[in-house]
Amino acid sequence: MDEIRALDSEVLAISIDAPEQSRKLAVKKRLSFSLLSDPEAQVIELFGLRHPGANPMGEADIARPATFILDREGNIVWKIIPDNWRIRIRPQTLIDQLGLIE
Amino acid sequence: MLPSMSLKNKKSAVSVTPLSIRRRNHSVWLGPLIVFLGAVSYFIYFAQFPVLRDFPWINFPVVFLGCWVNLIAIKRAFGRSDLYRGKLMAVLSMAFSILLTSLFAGYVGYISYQLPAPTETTRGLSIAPEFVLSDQNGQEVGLSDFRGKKLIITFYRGHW
Repeated sequence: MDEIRALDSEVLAISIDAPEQSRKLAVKKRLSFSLLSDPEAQVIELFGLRHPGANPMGEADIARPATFILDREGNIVWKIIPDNWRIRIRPQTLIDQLGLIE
Repeated sequence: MLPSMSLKNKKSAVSVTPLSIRRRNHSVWLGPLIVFLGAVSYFIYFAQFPVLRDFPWINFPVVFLGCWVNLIAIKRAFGRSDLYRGKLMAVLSMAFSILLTSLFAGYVGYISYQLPAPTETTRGLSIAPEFVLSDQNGQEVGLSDFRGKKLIITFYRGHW
């Protein structure tokens, strides 16, 4: 995370979890970035990332995993939409991509 | 009397070892135990290491080791039933090991791929849509707060 901040970059993580639940996760995993709560999956919908039917417990569909990198003007310059929820993007890949942006 | 007694002794010598003194077939419980630990330890421990998460380099060998031990249990129970007890248990434990191995391999190789295809919306995005959401401390965070900075936005499934 320090490496990412050194590149003048921030991280936002979005899920349908309630802020209370995200706080527990942030404390437990000592996360220093923002975990944003999108309980009705509205922003998830804006990004076209709803995973219909994957949440049998609640009303809102959960997000399928995806990661975007934005430049300083808010343009999406890089994205990854994995086909497997088990395999996660490596932080180093993101750091490399951030390094490519002015 | 003597000849008939010696005949009786001979007969008992060829009969199988009584059940009570046949050896315990430890691989019967060891096999499924190894399979179980091999599968469960992926989720509770090894998945935190990216290399071992992407492909279960440790968990797959452990699970298969468990199946192999279970195969030994089957061989002992059926091949050397004079020495080992527990045919039924050997079959049941083998069934358990095969089931759990299939579930684990199925999760890794198939179930975790069950994601919707990337939508046109996602693929077509070139400018991030504006949004304001609450963070873990109840603070409102908007995309525009980060204008002038580079930003990683990641969507995750969460714990609901």
